[in-house]
Amino acid sequence: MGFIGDFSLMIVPYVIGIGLFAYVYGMIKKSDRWIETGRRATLALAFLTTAASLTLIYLLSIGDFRYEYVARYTSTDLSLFYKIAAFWGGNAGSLLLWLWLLSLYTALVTYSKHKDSEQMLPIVSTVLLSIGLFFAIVLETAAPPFKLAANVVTEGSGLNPLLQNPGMAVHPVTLYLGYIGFGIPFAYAVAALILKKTDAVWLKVTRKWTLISWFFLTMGIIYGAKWSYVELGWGGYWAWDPVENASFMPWLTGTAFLHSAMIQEKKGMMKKWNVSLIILTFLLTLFGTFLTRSGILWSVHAFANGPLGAYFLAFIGIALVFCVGLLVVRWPSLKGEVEFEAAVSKETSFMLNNLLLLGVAFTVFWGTIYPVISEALTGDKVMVGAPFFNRVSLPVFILLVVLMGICPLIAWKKSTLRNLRKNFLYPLIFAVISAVFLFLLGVRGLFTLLSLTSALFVVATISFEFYRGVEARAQMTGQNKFISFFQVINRNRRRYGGYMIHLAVVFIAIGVTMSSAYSSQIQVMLKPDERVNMKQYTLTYRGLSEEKSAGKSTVFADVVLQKGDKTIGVVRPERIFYANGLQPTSEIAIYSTWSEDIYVVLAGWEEGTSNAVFEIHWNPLIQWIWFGGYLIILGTLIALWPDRRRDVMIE
Amino acid sequence: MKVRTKVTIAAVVVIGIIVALVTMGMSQASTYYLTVDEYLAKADKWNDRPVKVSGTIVGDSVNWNPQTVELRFDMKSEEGQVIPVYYKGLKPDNFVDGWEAIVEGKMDDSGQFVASQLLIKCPSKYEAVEEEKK
Repeated sequence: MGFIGDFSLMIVPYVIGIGLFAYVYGMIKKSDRWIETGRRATLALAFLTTAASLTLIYLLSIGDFRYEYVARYTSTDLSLFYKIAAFWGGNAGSLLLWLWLLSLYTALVTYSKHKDSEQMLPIVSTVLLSIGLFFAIVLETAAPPFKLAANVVTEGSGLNPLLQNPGMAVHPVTLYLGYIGFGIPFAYAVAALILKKTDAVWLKVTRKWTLISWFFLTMGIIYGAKWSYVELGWGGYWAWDPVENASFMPWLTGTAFLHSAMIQEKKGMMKKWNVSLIILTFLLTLFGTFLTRSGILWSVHAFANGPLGAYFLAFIGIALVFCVGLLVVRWPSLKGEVEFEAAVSKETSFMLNNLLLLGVAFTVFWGTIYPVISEALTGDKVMVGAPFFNRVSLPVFILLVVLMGICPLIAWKKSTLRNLRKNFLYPLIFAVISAVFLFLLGVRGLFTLLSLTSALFVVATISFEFYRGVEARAQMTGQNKFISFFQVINRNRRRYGGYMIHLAVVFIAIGVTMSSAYSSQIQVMLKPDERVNMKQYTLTYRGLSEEKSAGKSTVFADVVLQKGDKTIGVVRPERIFYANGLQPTSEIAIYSTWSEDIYVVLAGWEEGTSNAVFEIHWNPLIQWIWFGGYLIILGTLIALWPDRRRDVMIE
Repeated sequence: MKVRTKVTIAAVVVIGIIVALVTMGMSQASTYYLTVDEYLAKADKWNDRPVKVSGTIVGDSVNWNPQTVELRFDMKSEEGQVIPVYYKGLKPDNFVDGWEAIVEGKMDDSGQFVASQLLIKCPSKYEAVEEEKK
C-alpha cells in the first residue's frame, strides 16, 4: 500500500513545477490555455497529497511496522483514534498534513470566482504553489514519511503518552489550519502588489479566509492551553514557552490585520500597513514552524533536532527578501486615499489597537529570541522568562481591553463630545462603581483591579450597544424584544459577531486575570485517612490502589472531596507506569466549577508505605477561559454566516 | 495643531511606552543561562543576580524526602565538576540519572545551590523513546 503514498509524493514536486511554469508562462504570454494547465496542476496536487495522506493514515491504522514512521509513533495497543492522530504526532507526518491542507486550500482558491479573479488568481495560485513546493521538497529530502524501517520490528514504540489526549485531535490540526490559512490573504496581498491594485478588493475577497484562519489559530492556542492544563500537571495553562510564543506572534499580528483591514475596506486608508501586516503574519507563521522544528530554542514541543531548521531558515530568508523587495518597489503606489480627519475617531482608535498588538508581538519576539541574540553579542546566554512577558504585556493588554470597549462605538471620521458622552457615560459610571465594589471585596493589586475594571467596562459597552439595538428594532417593527434580539444580530452579523468575540475575549481576560492573581497551591504528604484543607474544600486521602493492564500499570489515590460540610465525591489522581521503559506520567484529577477548579496531582509516595504526596491547586475562574473559547466559536459563526440575500429582499 | 501631527505624537507616545516597558522588563527579569562549568568559573559574579544553571543529574546523589517535600541532588558538568542542589518541592516525573536538569536560584553560604525552580530537559519529549534506544 505504501508505494501509492510514496509514489504520489515523489511526483508532487514535478506537478508543482509544471503548475508554476504553466502559470508564469501563461501570464507572460497571456495564454488562457497555459493558465488552465496551471489550474489543473492545483487539482492534481490536491489529489496526490490526498492520496499520500490517506495512505499514511491507512498504514498507521493497520499498524504496518515495515514503515519507520508507523513503527516510531504507533503500537498495537493504541486505540484507532490515536493511531490516526499519530499522523501528525511526528515530524514527517505533520509536514505531510501541512502540505495536504495547503494544497486543498490552493485548489479551493484557484477554482473560486470573484471580482478581478481572472487577473489575480494566477498570481495567487503561483504564490501558494511556491509555498507548497517548499514543503514538497522538505518531504522528499529531509523528512520522508514513507521511509522503510532499517530493521523490521513486531511492535512499534507507541505514541508519547503526553500526546494521548483528546486535545491531540484538535490542537495541532486547528493550529495548522490557522497557520496555513494566513497564506491565502498573503498570496492575495502579493497579487495586489504585483498588479498595482491598491484598492480593497483583495481584502474583501480574503476577509473570510482571514477570519477563518484567525479562528482556527485562536482555537489552536486555546486548545493548546487547555491540553497543557489538563495533561502536564503543573496547574497552569500558559508558560510563555518559545513554541507557545511562536503561535501567539502570528495571532497578534493577524488580529491587528483583521482590524486594520476594516479601515482600508471602509476608508481606503492604511494600505501600506495592511500589506506589511499580512506579510509579517505569514512570515511569523513560518518562523513559528522554524522554532518548533529547528531545536534552536528548547521547549516541551521541540521535535528532534535535524536539518529541518536550515531548510526553514532558508525559505524564510527567500520569502523575506522577496516580500521586502516587492514592498519597496510598490511603496509609492500604496498611498492612502484619505488622511486622518480627526484625532479622536474610529480610525485612530484602530491605529492605536494595531500599535498595541504589534507592541506585544514585538515584545514576545524579542523575549523569545533574546537568548540567541545575547549569546551572539556578548557570549553569555541571557534568558527572559514568564516574569518579563507578564510584566510587559499586562499593561498593554489592559489598554487593549479598554480600547475594545471604545473602538466599536466611536464614530468614523470624527467623534464629537456628544457622541462620546452618549456612548460611554453609563458604561463609564458602571466601570467606576464596579472598581469601588471590587476594591471593597478585597481586590488589591493595581493591575488586577485595572484589568477587571476594564473588562467590566467592555461588558457594559457591549451590553449597552445590544440593548440600544434591540430597543430601536423593537420600536421600529413592533415585535417583542426577544425576537428583536435575534433580528438585530441576524441583520448585522459581522458587527454583532464581532461584539460576541469581544465579549469572549473579556471572559478570557477575566479568567486569566483571576487565575494568575489568586490561584494557590500546596504540596503535602498524607497518611491514609489524613485530611488537608484547601480554601473552602477539604480533601481526605483514603489510600492507594493499583490496576494493571497491557503495557502499563496505573497507581491511583482515592481522595474524598468536600466543600464545607457537603461531600462532593471522590477524585482519583493517577500515576501511570509503562512496561516499555517510558518515564511515568501523571493523570490529573480536576474538579471544575464556574468559580474555581480543584486540581489534584498524585506526585509520588513514600517507598514501602501508603503515604502519598499530593500537589493540590486551587485555580479560580479557569472555566471562564474555556467558555470564552466556545463564545469565540459562536461569534465567528455569526460573523461568517453567509448572507441570504433572498431574506433581505423579502424583508 | 494638524490632525496628522496629533496622531503621530500619540503613536510615538505609545511606541515609547512599549519600548520603555521592554527595557525595564529586560533589566529586571532577565537571567543568565549557564552550564555548571561556566557557573563555577565565575561563581562570585553570580551571587547577586538570578541565574539558571544546567547540568546532568547524578543518580546516586538524589535524596528525596516526601515528608518535608525536599529534594537534594548533585548536578554534574561535562568535565565532571559538581554542585550540590537543594530544591524545596516535588521530584519531577522524569528525574533520571544522566538527564539534564536546569535549576534557577543562587548559592547559599554553605556552598549549596538553592533552587527556586527545577526543570528537566528531556532529550526530546516527542522522540524520547527513540533517543533511549540508540
